[in-house]
Amino acid sequence: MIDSINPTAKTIGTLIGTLILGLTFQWQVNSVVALLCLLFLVTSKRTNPTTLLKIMVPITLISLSYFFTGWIFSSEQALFALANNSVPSPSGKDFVNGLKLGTRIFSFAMLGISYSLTTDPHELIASFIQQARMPMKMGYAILTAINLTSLIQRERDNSKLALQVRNIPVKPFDTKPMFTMMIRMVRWSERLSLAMESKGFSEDRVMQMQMTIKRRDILFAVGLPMLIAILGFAVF
Amino acid sequence: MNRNKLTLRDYLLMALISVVFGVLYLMAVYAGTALTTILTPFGLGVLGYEPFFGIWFMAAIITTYLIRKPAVGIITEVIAALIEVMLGNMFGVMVLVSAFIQGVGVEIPFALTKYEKYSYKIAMLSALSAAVLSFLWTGFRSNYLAMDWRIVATIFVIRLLSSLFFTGYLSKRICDKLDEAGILNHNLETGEIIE
Repeated sequence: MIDSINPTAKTIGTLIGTLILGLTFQWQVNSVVALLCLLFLVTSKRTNPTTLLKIMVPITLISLSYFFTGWIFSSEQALFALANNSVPSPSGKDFVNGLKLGTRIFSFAMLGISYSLTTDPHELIASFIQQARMPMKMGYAILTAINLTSLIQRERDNSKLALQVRNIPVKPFDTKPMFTMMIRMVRWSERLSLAMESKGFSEDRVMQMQMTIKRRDILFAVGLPMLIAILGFAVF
Repeated sequence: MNRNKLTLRDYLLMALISVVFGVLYLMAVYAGTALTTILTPFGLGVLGYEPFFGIWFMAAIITTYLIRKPAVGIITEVIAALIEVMLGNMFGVMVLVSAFIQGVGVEIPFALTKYEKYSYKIAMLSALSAAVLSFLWTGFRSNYLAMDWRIVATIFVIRLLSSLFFTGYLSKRICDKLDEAGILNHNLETGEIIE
């Protein structure tokens, strides 16, 4: 269902929908949106169930952390405790506050993964170039970097290894391998741009992948934010 | 101010550096998730990612330093966010908004100096404005108004310290080392561009 939506229309719809969701504070709206996103994910052919499950673990954890913070340290409870000069103890009202915060983060994350897991990177860039006027150079630079990801990771491992064989210890956030990588990236960017331009790369490049906006794309871009607004401001 | 248009090399540098930092972002996510797990039972899980928050601004400040053209910080953050989205980031399209705001935060102090000063003072101001703007945005996103003000204040202080260390100090140190290595196409003393 969501796979065939034009990526630019999907971006606009999801972005405005997310911002409207940010203005609503009901846990019921958050839950309905999360369920709707789950429906998008389940019906998508691009969603890998294993990847989805792996992503759901940190999402649930973060939502739980917000739930506990909202429950134990709610703003109203803090004001009450300050007024009475007493130690705060969570009540039923605070539980709802936690629920609102937890489901809020969960629904944002569900909207996020229903966008990122169902969008093809090549279609996204092609659509941004054709419909959102993204510069051709920027689009192809992103695709180049994406395709070089594994090579960059290998280079980073090699620079760490190069330091270790010289008996120089490398800590998790050490700047030494980072510094080596920065130098390599400056050089790579120079060589890659030369190579691409020598092959005739320019802003006038014709793209094989043609993305179009259809009626259902407009319906999605307008419909999703409208649905969230109706749920948030009229139904609940 | 260097008003030349961004070249293919500039865009490639921004995208490649975004991928390099993508690895670091991933490490920060793992560390943040581990810390969140430990802090959640005490109701302090929201603080889990805060010590690493400054890492998310590093790519923007480094490319601004390396390329020295307007809007480079914002574009780098947006490119990094797009790459994260393509690799399956769990906050999807929301990351694009966060990235834009963080990029603006990093960019403001450099823009005020017309992209001519790259001192520790400007780097620290850049870290400060990025922390403040990102705090306002996450405040809206995560509804900080529903939380105890002491928790919200703790979030801000930890984020600011993280930003000052990773963005203001560490990024500037890496850039200065790159400058010493002679690989930049700018002369810091004269402001001359070597093409």
